[in-house]
Amino acid sequence: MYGYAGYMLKVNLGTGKISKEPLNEDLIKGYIGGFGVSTRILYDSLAPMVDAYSPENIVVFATGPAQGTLIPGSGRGVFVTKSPLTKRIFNSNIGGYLSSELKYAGYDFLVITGKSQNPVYIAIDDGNVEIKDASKIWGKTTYETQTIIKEELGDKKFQVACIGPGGENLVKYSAIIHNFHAAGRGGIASVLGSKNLKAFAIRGDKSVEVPNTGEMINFYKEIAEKCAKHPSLPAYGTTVALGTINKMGCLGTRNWQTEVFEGAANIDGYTTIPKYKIRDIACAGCPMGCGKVQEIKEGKYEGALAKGPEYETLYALGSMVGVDDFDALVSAARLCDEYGLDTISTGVSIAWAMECFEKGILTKEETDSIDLKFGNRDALNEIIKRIAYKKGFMGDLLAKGVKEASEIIGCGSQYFAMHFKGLELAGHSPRGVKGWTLGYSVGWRGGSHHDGRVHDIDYPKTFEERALKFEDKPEIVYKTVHRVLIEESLITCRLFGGYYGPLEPNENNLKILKLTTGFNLTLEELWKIARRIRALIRCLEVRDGFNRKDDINAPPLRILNEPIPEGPSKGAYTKPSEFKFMVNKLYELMGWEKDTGKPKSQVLKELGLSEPKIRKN
Amino acid sequence: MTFVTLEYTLKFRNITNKDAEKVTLENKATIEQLLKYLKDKYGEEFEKEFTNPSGDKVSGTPLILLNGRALNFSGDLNIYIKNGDTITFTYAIVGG
Repeated sequence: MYGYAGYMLKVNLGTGKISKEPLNEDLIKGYIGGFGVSTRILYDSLAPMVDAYSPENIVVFATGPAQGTLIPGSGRGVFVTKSPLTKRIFNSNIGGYLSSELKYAGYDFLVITGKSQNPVYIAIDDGNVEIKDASKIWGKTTYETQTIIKEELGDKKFQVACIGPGGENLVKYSAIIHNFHAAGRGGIASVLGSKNLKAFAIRGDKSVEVPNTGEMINFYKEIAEKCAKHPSLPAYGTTVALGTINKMGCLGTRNWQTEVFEGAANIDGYTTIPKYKIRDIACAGCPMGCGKVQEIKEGKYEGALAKGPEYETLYALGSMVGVDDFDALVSAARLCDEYGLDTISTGVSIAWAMECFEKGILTKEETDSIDLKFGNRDALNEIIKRIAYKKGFMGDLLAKGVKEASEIIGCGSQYFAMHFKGLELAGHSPRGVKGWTLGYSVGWRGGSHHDGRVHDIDYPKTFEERALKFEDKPEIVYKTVHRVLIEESLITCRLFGGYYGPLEPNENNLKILKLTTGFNLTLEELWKIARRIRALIRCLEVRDGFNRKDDINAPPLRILNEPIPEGPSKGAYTKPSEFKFMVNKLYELMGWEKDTGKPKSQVLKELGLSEPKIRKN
Repeated sequence: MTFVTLEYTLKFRNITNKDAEKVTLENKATIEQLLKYLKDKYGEEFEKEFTNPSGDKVSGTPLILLNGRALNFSGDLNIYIKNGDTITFTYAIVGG
């Protein structure tokens, strides 16, 4: 099979059994690969309502047909499991060299089941797979872990993905780290931690066959030439998005109390890259090279070093917590990487605690004497350490995520707990970019900026079209979410959306599929695959007891009640009536029942899916 | 006379070789007239960013922000510029 290694590697940590199974061709044709196939694996393998930390939960690390080939933007892989934050299926994408290496080792999917009695890591050395003792590295940070494992295996070519203290201590938004890259969202690292799995390391010597190497090289050249002309990503990565989004008045600031950050210029890449960048990094085979490593060379935070920090991190550990000291921000980002914490959820959780503190809901007694005011850079760095180890009342509280923390504290703090479906809100405004209220709410991940990429379409539009109009948003979300599902299954990087098509499944997706696999599908067939994956995700949610009510109740109350108070997007918010209109319209487009949110029977039949058993939550 | 601030980022900064400048325009100048003024001042490369954007059309769509609000190229070019306005030449950038 062109484009695929042809095998699935299964590792049961409970029994120690390791097996290699040939890929099922029907599965590939029905779901392509990556997240699509992983969704089917979870649907077929997981019992309904299984807890994220149960040994019965499974974690899939998946590649698609693009990995290990010359497709630009293919240096990505995806982790899929049930999230402890959202209680739903969750996919978290990671860059670097991990996914291509898995293909070179001869596998398309790594499926991890069971729970080990003791800390272990998995070593995949081409055809040879072993479960190895990790008791000596348990407790180590992610960077230490990667170094130790490479030394122990005696080959620096091993690509290592690991968890840090955050994952070991079951911080619900802990991140998996590989090199400088993170599978940050959804707390997947803590699922690995619950299985006593510290890491996996991969090295392979095989190659991925494609139908026509010449055509593949031409495609690479065509996209690489476009990348070279890109106005921002090769030079600045995503770091300069902050300045533009702030100028538009859409930057979440001080826990979304406002959307204009007066200190944006101090942390925007436009200011920092010329001063702090020490090198560029790229994922496997990527001609864009958007990774910018920045290092603090003097002062209190001397030696702090991080990739980016990317736009989302600048938002979460910068404007959200009111910190415009770039040195302190890089230090905070580095701590998150070393401890293995998602920077977005970490920053949003701390921002909620800061607002609680300033409103007197939390006092110094609860914060262990930390002066948790917005803008306190030292408090930011200190509290991150406490979260990773669940140290003290605040560390333990914030490690649960902002939804659970606000339910425990109460006192009206749920009103400004900025999450959708348990996942802390990413840095794209649901008020300033109105379609995002819908995209986040109906997305299976909630507060992720990837399930309905409205901003790809709406940022260039006028204020009226972007922030006031709502009638066209359901169709935009409908199209972008299906495009993203194809990208997550092929797998291609979201930053190539501008080249491969920003709106809906398209001819470029088909071209990539054909170049890698030789499959000659029509656009209609591609759409059907995307719709099948989306419907199956919805069936998983329905089977676990989620329904329309969970979509309607998803937006933070601040989003539905408080207009943006100042700046260029002043006055924008999503009225509850507009929100309900958008949900109803999107349900119609999706073919979901209006009352329950379940895909309609005729839709399931058309897509070759069976009825999910509905459970009451 | 109308006094305005012009801000330039990314490729626009490379073309103009500056981050910002203050310029004086005739009363009732429009965005279209401003673009012509900038084309005359900085050459065709400036205009090309709008007629033939570099890179791709989405991740780097050129953007004119009038006091932080994006303008629609087909409908907003005849908008009058007011005294004290800030006009930013930048790009809509996606990030993650």
